Amino acid sequence: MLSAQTGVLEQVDGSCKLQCGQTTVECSVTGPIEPKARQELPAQLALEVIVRPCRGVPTTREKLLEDQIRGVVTPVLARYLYPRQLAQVCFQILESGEPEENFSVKELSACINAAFLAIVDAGIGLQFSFASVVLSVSTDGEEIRTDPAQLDLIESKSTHILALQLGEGTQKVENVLLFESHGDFTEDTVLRVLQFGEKSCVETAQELRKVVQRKVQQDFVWR
Amino acid sequence: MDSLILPGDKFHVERQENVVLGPGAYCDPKSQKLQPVNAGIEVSRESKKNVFVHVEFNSKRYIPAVGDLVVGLITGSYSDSYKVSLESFSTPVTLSYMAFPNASKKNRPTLKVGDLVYARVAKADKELEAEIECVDSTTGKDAGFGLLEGGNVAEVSLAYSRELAFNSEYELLPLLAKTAQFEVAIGINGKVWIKCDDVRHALACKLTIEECQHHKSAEHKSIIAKNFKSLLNSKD
Amino acid sequence: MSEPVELRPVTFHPEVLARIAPDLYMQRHLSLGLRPSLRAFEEFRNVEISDGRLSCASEDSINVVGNNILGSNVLKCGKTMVITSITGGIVEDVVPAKSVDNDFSEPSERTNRVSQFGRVYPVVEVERGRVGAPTDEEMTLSQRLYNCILHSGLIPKRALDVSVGIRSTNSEGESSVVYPDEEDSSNAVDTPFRSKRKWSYTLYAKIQVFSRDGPLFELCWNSLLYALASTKLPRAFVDERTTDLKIPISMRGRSAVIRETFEIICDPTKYLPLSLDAANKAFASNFGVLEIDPEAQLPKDDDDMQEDVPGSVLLADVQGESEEASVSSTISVVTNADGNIKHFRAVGGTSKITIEMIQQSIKLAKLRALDLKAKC
Repeated sequence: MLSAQTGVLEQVDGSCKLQCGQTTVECSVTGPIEPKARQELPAQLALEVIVRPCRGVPTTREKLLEDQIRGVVTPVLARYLYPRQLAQVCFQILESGEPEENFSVKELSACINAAFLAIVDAGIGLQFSFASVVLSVSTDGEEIRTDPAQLDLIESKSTHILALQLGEGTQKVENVLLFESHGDFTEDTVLRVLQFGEKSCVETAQELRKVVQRKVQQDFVWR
Repeated sequence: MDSLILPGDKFHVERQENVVLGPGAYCDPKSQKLQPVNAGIEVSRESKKNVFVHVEFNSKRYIPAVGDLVVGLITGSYSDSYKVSLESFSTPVTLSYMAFPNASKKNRPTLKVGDLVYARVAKADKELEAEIECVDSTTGKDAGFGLLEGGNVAEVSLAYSRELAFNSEYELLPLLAKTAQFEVAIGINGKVWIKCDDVRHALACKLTIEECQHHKSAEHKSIIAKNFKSLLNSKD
Repeated sequence: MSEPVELRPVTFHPEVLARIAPDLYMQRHLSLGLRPSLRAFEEFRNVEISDGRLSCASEDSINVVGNNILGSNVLKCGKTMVITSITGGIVEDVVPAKSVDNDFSEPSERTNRVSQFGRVYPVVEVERGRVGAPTDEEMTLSQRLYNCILHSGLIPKRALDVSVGIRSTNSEGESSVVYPDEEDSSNAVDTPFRSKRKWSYTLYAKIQVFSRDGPLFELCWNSLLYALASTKLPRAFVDERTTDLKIPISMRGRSAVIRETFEIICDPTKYLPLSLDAANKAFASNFGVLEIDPEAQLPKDDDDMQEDVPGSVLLADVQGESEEASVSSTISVVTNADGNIKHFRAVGGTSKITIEMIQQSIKLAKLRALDLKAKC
């Protein structure tokens, strides 16, 4: 389902191209670099997130995506290692894989996963690993689908995005970084989706771990 | 594969005291928990008193650390210091006129903009611009630093330049030395300076080093042979 | 060290401390079992609601001339004031050529949930005494409100359809407007006209926030909801004479195309309330999660040692700078009293969000929804 490659861009510190189903994003990370005066934080690393849509110019939809990504990435960065510095994370959506005017969950999830790989590639300190999945609940409210296809998403009764902070061999769930749901659902659905999503999030994280392993192997190939 | 480690994993260190942290290892000031912050290969070394832990990882952006031997490019000169670039698009560092052997107020160094220097990082505070020096500041004597005249610079990944500099058993340079005569200065900011009498040799050495970072050590011999052969044959 | 150094404890005025060390200020309050606002941990602020008499449909509207506000709400919560005004327009729908005839336009094979719902285009303005490009907060707030309205299904698409009336002028020169739904079935309106074109209302919401004091999404959402509930859509009609009007227009001077145009006119006197889907009417509540720092606690007397301090606490209705700055994880729930949740968002920072907290926040949000619904 998920395939990714790190180090795809030459001129930036870290980069990654990630494909998840019909969604493809490319992410670049530059940093730590000197920030502009208004971005500078006295004791920690500032984070700038830029999302470019797959067509057209960025709108408020992309602003919201940027805000959500920043909310996920900021707490896991080892921010205090880089005071008064800036990390710039840029995303270019290559394929949306969802009706853009109504949804943005698949792009968001792909961006979060791509951000993890690109930050690791850039060598910027992270306190934990993280991964994200999209879930949708079918119209009858019974079936929960991970990484729904475009049609499943359109038909779904509710859509959920879950991003988790993971530790200990990316197996143990440490915290919920983002859990956002839209649609028509109940408390019971929330808990079921959370439980189900935890499992698939760990699975996704294992996939990401494999990508990182390949990267490290490639980096130290001369050994 | 040795032991892969990712952020959020745990170091395989039994001891709690006398743990010395290297790059990629971080101690959370609040919880006092030891954790890796980079993804790479876990390396721990135990001495009688201490355990040394670090993560061996590759990255592109060089962050100066005290004691690093670096190859820098002079990009500007001020009244009492040079501005030196260790890496394109990174914050430049300063090289004071007083950080040369036998320096005095009257005796100014004669480096020009565009010159390469081999130096050591003297100060690298997060808060300030890093400083480098061309003198062993503990003894105040010449320690082989200074202007690098002529030659070529090979750009390699940071992890590879560390390997070249620190692993004395690593075989690439001895292998190269069998084929050509050269002077070398390894900067662990990913810059390797090479100088040969023959331009073709210099070019071959540069290409070889840059190519070998992407190949297994078993293939190094054939890469050297291939590069030298193609360049020496292209004589005319 | 010849002179002895004397260290004196420094004391600050509470407001100064709140400014320079918001987290410490917060922790000290929490150790007393209170919040800086003197509310209990799970206590919400009261909200005051009025329609502000802004809407042109209301009888005692304060501005009658040139008013195009269809629905309004003024929400006061603490010192924050949110003013929402709904305006609108009429757009012509693109009707696929085939489905013109069947009135019930139910999509045939697969259910596309979102396509059945209407939208509102909100613009949030947080007033801070200066003008300029919208801030990131304003943009993300507007987009979130838009997404939530759309996905909640609050407005069925059908509620935005315009049923167009026809103004006819009889021989004495008196004009009267006839609406299709007001008509007795015997009196036939010319059907070919009706089936050819379809119009729908588009709603815009302008949300102004004064004295920002904490997270705004929930306040804006609730205000928008009340405003939509009070919204009345004007009836619209076309003049009989224009219904069969044909005007030749030239496209870049090359070919002349005959096109009918309708001038659609809004009735200044007749309004229909916007019918919202009552089952999808949900109210928003926010919560913050804060870790208790054992080192920042006030020293306790020995006799109340039995009180066990939990690792982290859930605070309802985050208010004020010090709370907003020190709360690292937030939960936001949009639900109705029956537990029909429309939007849920948990953003975890450094504090851990547990399942119990999610359950507790949903429970509290339901209670609050019941309370807020009563004000509607």
